[in-house]
Amino acid sequence: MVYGIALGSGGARGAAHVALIDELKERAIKVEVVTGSSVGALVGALYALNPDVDLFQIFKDLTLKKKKMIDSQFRTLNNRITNFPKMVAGKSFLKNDFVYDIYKQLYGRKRFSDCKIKLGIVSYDLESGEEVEITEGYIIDAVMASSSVPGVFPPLRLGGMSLLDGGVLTPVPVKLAKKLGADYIIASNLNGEVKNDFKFNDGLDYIISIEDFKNDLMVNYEINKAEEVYTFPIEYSWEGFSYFNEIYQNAKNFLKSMQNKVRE
Amino acid sequence: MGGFFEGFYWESGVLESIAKKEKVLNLYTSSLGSLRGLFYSMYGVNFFGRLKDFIYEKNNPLREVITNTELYNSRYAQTTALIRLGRGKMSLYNPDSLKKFLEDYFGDQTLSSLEANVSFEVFELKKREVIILENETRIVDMLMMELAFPPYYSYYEFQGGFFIPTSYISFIPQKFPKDAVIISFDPALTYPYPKNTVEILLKTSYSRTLKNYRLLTEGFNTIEPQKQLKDYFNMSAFFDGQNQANNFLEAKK
Repeated sequence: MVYGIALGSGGARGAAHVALIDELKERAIKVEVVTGSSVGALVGALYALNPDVDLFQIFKDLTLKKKKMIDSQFRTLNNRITNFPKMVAGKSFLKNDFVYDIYKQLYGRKRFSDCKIKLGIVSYDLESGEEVEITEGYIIDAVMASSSVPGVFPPLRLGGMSLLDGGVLTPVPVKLAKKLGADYIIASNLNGEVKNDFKFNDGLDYIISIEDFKNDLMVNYEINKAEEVYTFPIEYSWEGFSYFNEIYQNAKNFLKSMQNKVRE
Repeated sequence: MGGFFEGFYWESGVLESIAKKEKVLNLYTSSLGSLRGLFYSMYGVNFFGRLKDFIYEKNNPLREVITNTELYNSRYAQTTALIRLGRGKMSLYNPDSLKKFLEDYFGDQTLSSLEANVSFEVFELKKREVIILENETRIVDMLMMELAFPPYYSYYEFQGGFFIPTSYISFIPQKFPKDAVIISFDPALTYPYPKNTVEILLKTSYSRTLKNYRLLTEGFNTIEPQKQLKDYFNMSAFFDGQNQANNFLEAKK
């Protein structure tokens, strides 16, 4: 049996992917294929490069070390006064230099061919409007492309395309994992958001939030092809990078409760 | 069928052609498809003349919406839209004036008064559920839900739920039988390379809806435009829809 893991999009909620990978290590499952979309690409690429590395420690240290800078970027993101003109005059609210610096520390100049586990990353081409599968080249380019949230970061020009977040069209890349040879796929879905309130600040907030409702069909299409699915109930938003520990711990507890259910 | 205003003429042409040839039709509709289904149900095969009169009636707020659906490519439209939406308004148009117009037009009639078999489908945001409306629903409430298409109108609150048309998510309704024929104008829409953040968000939003549409219609017979239309909002689009439907029916023989 060829095990594959498909790690979905969801920003800071990606801490749950780390919890799942730790869980699979405990179960002694030998993963041979990893696919990732957005934060799934970010986590999956590091895991594929160094399967034995302590992902929790690396991402915990990273979020702690970069906390000030990440918080300041998201303050800019949420500043309506400066963002308003950017919506008409620019192509993104934030520049992606700070993300590049972080990724550079994680992946350096490593290529897909350096990975110990077969890696596939999904992105979205703004020009053709189609999904793009990346399985070769420099990892940093693929992860940058896959995690460029539309509107937040500018499209990344690569290979004659303008690439944006893989989560636009492929929230959980199960199909790609099958294509790369996996026949038992474990899907990690971060789109099982727990929404306790139903409030919007204004029409802009509403039309941006309502895009998430388009995810359900795409997520179901993908996870129906997986053999094992974990849909994490996460109450934190995709921007909640300060809550890395909490999201990780909640995901661990969720996985434990799932295991207990299976045993019962 | 579903869509929004862009397919108003074209999809009506398709429906009229099919309705002329098929004695019994069961319709599965969302958004503008539901408005079309409603008028087909009320007036039969010659529904389109009555529907056009309704849309272009002097006091109908939809008359303004149909001429202002082009947010893409117009920085002026984008800026005014952002000003309206960013300053506390939930939508570009006021739903109260639409409701008032619809109440004057349809009164308290319910879906049970309709002749044809139409499944009016909506999406409830809190429960993330696709719902077929009950026969006891007032036509006015059905239309307020089906026309609550972002950003033109905000969700419609009804019996504790928050409703929008399913076609916002997938161009078409999501519940239909295996032998259904899908009518959709929207897959033929094209968006040039985005120039700014608004256009990036609009294009990615369109790509997502298109992907959902493709997932839903895999293996189904579909009637979609075969060529790019220069103008969606005139009778040439209607006639093109008729031709497309005739070609489809001929090929099926």
